[in-house]
Amino acid sequence: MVRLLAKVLKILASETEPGQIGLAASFALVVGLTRIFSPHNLSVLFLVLVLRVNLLTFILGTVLFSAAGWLLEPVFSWLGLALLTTQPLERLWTSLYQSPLWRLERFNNSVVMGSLAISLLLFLPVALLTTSLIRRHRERILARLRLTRALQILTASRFHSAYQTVSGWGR
Amino acid sequence: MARWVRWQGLVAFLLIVVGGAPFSFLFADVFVKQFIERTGTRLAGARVEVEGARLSFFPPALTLKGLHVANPEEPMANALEVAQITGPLDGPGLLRRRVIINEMSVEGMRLNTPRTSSGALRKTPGNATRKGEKLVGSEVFSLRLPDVEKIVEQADLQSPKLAGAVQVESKRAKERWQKRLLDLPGTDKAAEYRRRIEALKETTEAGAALGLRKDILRDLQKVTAAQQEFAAEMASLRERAVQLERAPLEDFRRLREQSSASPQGLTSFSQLFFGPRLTLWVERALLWHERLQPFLQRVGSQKGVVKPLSGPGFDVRFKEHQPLPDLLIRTVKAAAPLELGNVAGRVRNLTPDQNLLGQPMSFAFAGEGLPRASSLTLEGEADRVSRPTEGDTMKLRIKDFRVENLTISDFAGVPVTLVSGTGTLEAQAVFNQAGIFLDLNLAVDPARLSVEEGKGSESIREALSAALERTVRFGVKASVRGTVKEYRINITSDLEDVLKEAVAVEVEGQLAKVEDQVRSVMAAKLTEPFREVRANMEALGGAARDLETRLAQLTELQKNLPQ
Repeated sequence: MVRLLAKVLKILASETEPGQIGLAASFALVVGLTRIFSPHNLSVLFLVLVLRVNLLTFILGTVLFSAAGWLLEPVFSWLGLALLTTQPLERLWTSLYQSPLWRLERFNNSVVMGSLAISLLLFLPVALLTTSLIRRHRERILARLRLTRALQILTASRFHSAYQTVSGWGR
Repeated sequence: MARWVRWQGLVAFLLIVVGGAPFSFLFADVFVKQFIERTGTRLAGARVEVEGARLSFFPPALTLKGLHVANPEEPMANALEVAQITGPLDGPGLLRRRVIINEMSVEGMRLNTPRTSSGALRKTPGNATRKGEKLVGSEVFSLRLPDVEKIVEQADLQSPKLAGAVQVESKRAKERWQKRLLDLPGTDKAAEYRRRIEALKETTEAGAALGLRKDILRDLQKVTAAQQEFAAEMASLRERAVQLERAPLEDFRRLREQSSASPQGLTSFSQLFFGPRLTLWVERALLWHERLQPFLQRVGSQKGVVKPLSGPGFDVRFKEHQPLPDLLIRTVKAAAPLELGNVAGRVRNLTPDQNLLGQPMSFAFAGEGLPRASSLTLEGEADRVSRPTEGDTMKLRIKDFRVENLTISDFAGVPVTLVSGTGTLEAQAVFNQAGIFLDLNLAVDPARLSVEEGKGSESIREALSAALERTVRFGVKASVRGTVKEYRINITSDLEDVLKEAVAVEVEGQLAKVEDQVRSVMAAKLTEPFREVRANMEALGGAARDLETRLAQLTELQKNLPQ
């Protein structure tokens, strides 16, 4: 049981390169801000699982961005409505409206459109910013963490040795 | 490639998708159930529960079992209960997020059934405040003495305002004239003139006499002018005081009219008698009419932008090659076992997007040879196709229905029961942009009425009992006119004279008591201002006398001047 848990944790915590964490945060941004059960999030899930991104960051990020998304719903609605009612884009929306897939996506809903637009707009900045922040602070934070009593107790535990022994997944 | 691709992830994704599909099929029923309960609860303003939902995919169809819609006004009762609802779904429509059901059958529909748990919501959605005619609320009508203090407090009374104004005006006038009198020639000046006259007798200087004459004349003119000014001001003040004396009576007359306790109010006993129950029915009908609106028309802020039936934000609709509503039930076949007997019928074109369908929602229900009535027909239409024709119509006719032990009124806390009777009810309603037009005609023949013991006075009970127990038939006509938010109910009945005769004495007695109380409350409010106004007027009366004395003294001095 301990080994299984350790294995899961190992998978979740693998792919710890700053770029992999940054990308995971961006994917979490899309899933967290937009409606979770939507066709585009199926694509995001595919990318998250197939690309080597940090799964723990993705999960935690999704939780965090979901909360933010809930708070920002009025902003999404306002922006989405503005985009959907913009005259130059009307032809594009009208053509998408004829497609069952896009209707399933519910792009014509103001909150869906607004949240999707914001998450796509912030996708790259969030990936780059997270990567850069992790690069800059990783060594400093890790050095401090290693000195903490809690981490010293954890590294001395049986769970940690089990965690260290499992390998092969995720790498 | 391996640096970026996690092949195990592909396997995991396939597992999730392959495993997720049956999972979705498995839990689709739960999702449908929750969706209906959540959306229904939001729209009905009370708990909506579904015992079971089944969504089948091959062929696509929906079955709901045990639908319970709680009554928001009576949370321990269901306004509607349906044993089973079934209907085939349009498969391609579902892919386009459209729920289209060609024929839905509703079985085992029942109204007003008891619940085991409360159907009230913790937070009820706000309803538009309606201002129906306050037939029910008037305490005078209920023959309980009203809170007179409250009536006087809430009324826009003119007498206290006028009393305050006259109080200030009279006080200012008093102070001003007290000051003014000090500046006018008075007793001292008269004494001085007497001394000068005496001195004049001992001198032969002609100029001195002329100077004195001029001085006296000037002062005389001053006092005369002041007296004229004072008389004008006093006349105005007296007029204001007279207005003030009359003001409480005027206020009282207005109060009586406002509280409908006037003799005019007494002329419509039918209103008092049948009004509360009818108002309640109208209120309920309007409330449900309001609650059904989301099923008939989307809430939209602008053209093409509509509020979705469920979920946040707005849906923007674009031109479609084949426009169809998001939700459309072409035919609903329903049967309802009412108290009168089984009634069956159809509802057609139930959709919140009538503008897309181009046809209004219509309904027609009928029952023939019912156990408790000869026939019942209910038909109507809710048109939301285009703005100019928008409106709802409804016609109801129940012929020869038999009623037993129905409380028809609780007038003045005395319940009146229709012990047995056979009646015919005809109702027509139109709701449109111009307002509400509801006409109701009820004829009960034969009728046996009985007056029960209640909270009301025994004398009223006896009077009503004597009058109504002789009644063998009666008719009631009612009309409702106005807007949904503010309407007026007018009721007439051939029981009018019987009722008036029975309770007029009692009502007049109660009204006399109310009048006495209002008078004493108003008197208490006006005593102090009245007292001060009177005191000021008395003081001004003193000033008038003073001016007269001064004028008389100066006139006499002028006469006594040596020639």
